[in-house]
Amino acid sequence: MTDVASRESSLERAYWRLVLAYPRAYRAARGAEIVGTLMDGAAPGQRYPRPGEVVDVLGAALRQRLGVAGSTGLAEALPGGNPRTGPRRDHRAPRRLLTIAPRGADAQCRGRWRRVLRGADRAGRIRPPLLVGPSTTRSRKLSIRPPQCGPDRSPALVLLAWR
Amino acid sequence: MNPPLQEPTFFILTALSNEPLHGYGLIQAVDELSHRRVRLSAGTLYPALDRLTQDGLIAVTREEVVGSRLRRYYELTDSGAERLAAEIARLTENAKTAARVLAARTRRTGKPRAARSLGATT
Repeated sequence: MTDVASRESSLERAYWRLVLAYPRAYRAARGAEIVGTLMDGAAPGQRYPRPGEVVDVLGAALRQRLGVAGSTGLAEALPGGNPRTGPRRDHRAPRRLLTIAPRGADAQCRGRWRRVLRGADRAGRIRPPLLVGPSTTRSRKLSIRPPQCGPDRSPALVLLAWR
Repeated sequence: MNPPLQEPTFFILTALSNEPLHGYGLIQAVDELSHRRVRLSAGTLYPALDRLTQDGLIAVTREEVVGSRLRRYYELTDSGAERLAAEIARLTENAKTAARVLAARTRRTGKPRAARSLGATT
């Protein structure tokens, strides 16, 4: 196998792993096609999925699993959300914040993450889905200061849900 | 009466009016047709294709298999062409109405653009 071929196939395998996030039936129907599109769009010599691609595919897979595919963002898909205006700002209905905390984080750390994000959410700074890590440009831009706990550099996937 | 098409959908149908395209070809065509404004990705393209296929506005025309990957080509159906024509008519009508109303305003005030503050319009 040539070098180029092996690089391509390792990228292709990585895309296939990413596509595992889709529900099985959807993957059976669309998986090979999505991988094909990702491969077509890959830069020459690219070895790993780009961070943007990972977020894009995981978001799409999640929307598929939640049965809200077709909306451009989770916020729009959830009850009270609207394709044009985004989520309804109804202050009486409490929002529910779902976080997937950094791997290895203990309960106390997860609680801190949740408080930080809830504060940012109240201030209207974040829209789901959102990937926040201790030192990502995204978290700096949103002026979220992630708590100093949990293993460094592992991002937390943060989703907001509306009741 | 059909609801207005969302912009990505509008450009997908426009791109397919020209020729059948596969996923990545569509992403590029939409990018170009929209002057880089509508940027589709794998994650946003396929839900749109699912919906358009379900509604019968587009259909798979052929498939190419390369290893474990797949290139599926889509074409515009007759009903897709009708839907796009209806949307073009709607947009044209809207633009005409807006142009007429704005022209009347310009004749009245001599100012084509919105005044800077509310006070200035009186």
